[in-house]
Amino acid sequence: MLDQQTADAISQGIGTVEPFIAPLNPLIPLVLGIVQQGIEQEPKLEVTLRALFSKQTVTSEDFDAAIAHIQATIYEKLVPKTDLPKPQV
Amino acid sequence: MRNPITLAIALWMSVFAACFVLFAGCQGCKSSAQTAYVVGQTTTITVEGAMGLWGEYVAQKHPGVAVEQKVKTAYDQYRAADIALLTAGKAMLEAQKAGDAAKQTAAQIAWHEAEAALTASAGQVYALLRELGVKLP
Repeated sequence: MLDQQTADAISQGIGTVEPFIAPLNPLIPLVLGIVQQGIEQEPKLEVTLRALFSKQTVTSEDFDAAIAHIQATIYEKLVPKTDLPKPQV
Repeated sequence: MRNPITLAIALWMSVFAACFVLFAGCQGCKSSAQTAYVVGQTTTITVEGAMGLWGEYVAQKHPGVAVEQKVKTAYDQYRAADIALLTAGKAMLEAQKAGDAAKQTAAQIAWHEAEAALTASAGQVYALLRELGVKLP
């Protein structure tokens, strides 16, 4: 189960930025549920989330790392048993 | 005793309501670049979590190439939107550091466009996975 401290951290983190993300509001219960499932499968995700929401400053390198992660996380990485043809390198 | 998730959602919603009142008039109170970073990262974690469930589903049920292609297309659209949002966030940060008001405005416009695209594309991934039978919360 998602513990209260993590739920608080997420709530505070998202709550602080709320005016910017109002369009995302309808997705919040779903997001929280998926995060909970993720933590059950991968407990270190909770640490990642806490670090994210308690981060005081953000740098260009943080953005570069986040973008590089998304670029590297192709469909085949998340769905290793896919029946799709392997992407050409 | 109430379900912890129900409690968490209730807490989340109440924090939203309180913060809306507190922060609606001062969006500049929080660095907008930091906002972009947190939103981008939270969406990344959530969509990748949902796609992990899809990966388990595919391993068990092998829904077929056409179905998988649909999900892959939706996932790639989400990735493009998340990268656009983070790129806009980085531009906001750099414009802020340089004290360039025109660039800050341009970056904020790009951020708002990217935010709308990210909301739509992430929502599309969740809707598609649900439609295909993945048990999302």
